[in-house]
Amino acid sequence: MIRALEYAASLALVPVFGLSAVVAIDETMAFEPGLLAAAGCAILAVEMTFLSLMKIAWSPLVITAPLVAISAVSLPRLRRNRLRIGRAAGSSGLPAWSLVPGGLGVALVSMAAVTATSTSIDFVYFWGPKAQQFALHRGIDFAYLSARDNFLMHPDYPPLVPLVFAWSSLWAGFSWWAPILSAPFFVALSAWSFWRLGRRSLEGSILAGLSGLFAITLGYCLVVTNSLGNAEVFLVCWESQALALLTFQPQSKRRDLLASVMLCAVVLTKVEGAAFAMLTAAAFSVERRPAIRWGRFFRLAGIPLALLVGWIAIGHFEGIREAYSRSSPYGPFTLVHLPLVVSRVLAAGNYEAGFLPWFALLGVIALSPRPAASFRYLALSFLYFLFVVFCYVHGAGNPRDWILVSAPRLLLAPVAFLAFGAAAAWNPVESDRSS
Amino acid sequence: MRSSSPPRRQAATVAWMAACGLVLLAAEARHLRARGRFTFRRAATILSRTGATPRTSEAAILFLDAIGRQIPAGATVALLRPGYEGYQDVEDAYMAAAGRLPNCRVVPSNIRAANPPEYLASFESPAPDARYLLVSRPPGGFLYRLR
Repeated sequence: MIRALEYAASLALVPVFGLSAVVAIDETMAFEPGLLAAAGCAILAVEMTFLSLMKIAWSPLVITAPLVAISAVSLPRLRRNRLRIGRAAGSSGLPAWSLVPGGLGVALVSMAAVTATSTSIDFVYFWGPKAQQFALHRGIDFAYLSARDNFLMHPDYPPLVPLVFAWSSLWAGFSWWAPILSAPFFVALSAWSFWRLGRRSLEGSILAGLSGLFAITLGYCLVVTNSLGNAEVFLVCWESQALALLTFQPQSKRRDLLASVMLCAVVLTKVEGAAFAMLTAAAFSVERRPAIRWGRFFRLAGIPLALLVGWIAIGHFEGIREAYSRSSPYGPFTLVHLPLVVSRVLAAGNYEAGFLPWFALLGVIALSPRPAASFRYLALSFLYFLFVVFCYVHGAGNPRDWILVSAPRLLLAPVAFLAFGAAAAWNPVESDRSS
Repeated sequence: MRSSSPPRRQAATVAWMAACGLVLLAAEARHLRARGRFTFRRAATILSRTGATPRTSEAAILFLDAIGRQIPAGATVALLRPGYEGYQDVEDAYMAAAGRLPNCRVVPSNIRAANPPEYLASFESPAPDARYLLVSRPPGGFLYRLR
């Protein structure tokens, strides 16, 4: 029981770490748990990586003290603007029942987690072992990552997930259960941000239905693809935070900067997060005037890109480059298997339900008063699909089994694009925002 | 909150979302039920209902946890599963053991001929080897020590 409380305390601190960044950019967002968690995890990952490079051993105090001190600086600003923040965070006017559909989705994910029905094998093989080793080593163990025997553990995969697991391990020892049991919270956070940030844009019944459908779809896809404990749970949550900001908040420099913090979490979570961040930044920078277009793009993608380059440079100097190396670990680019890859990746979107997750969201777009407003999101889904295909057209070997185990998880990003595309199609002001 | 779309279109969309949501919930419930009864009781291990061979995975984790209590910290150990010694099997066994035995130095089982580890953990079946002495038979397998 005490161990569980220590875990809870360590995880509850993460949003506090994100407070400084969120308040510095837009204090009205200071009580959005999803944004705080994404910012907190990104800041925590950067700090833990920095400490490792400086050879400073991790401890709860060494990590917590500077981050809490920085967050405390933002408290006077919160106090000064409490009325404005209170108005922004105020009640949506929506009844509590509007959260019931999403709650049902989260409940089934909780059951899958606690009964170990959908545990990710990648968690058992490398996300968990890496986190455990980092916690024991009190730092990122580059010798462990570069060991020849560990090359299948994807040594240069972005560090956020093992670092967050290692962070909670510093408090209470490593638990194989904690990352799996935390999965429903990430699904809930994704849907909560959809509901909260969308409440001023969408009509009540549409918002309740769509946020519920999003939670159910996300939970369903994570469960049937055995993704609990895997980085996808984090990834899709951070992607949802970024898309919720870009879809529901009016265009402004603050919104773009806050979305860029969410994209930082995305690129630090998985390799494919870089594709998500760049495509999203490009899609939300579309503008006739080049100066504005590029300014907006760099506001959204600049910091995530810098962090990504930093991590690749660390990988280069520590001798752990693999996924980010110039030559793919799976072999050179080849179009030999292109038809097979396209057909298998398309089939991977079946999700054991006759493609229902896609049809459900496309149906909401088709029934909307402004389907054209979702064009940006449909284009993003298609471009991301092409990126997924690109990932598999490497190497001479038949990629069928590789696609079978990983493509359904990779396709979760297009599912998220479609969910927010449906929201855009039902948002009366979306057409005003499109440039 | 804004309301600018015809009520009939809205009602149709809400009905569509509700129908799709219910079908997905039912499909998820069916997926869960196919792997065991509905419960919120914690499983014995994190793989107890996952994948095509959950019983094997569960037994492997319990076996690794049991030998982890017997092998001294810092000792070298290899996990093998007789009959499953292909390249991918060796890698999978290595990574699973590396995670469950963090206090030991886990090595892949295919190096044992040239560079025998201090301990050999054989899952499911015995792995007779003249260089090794059987030290225990925890549930799920056999633990050997280098003579």
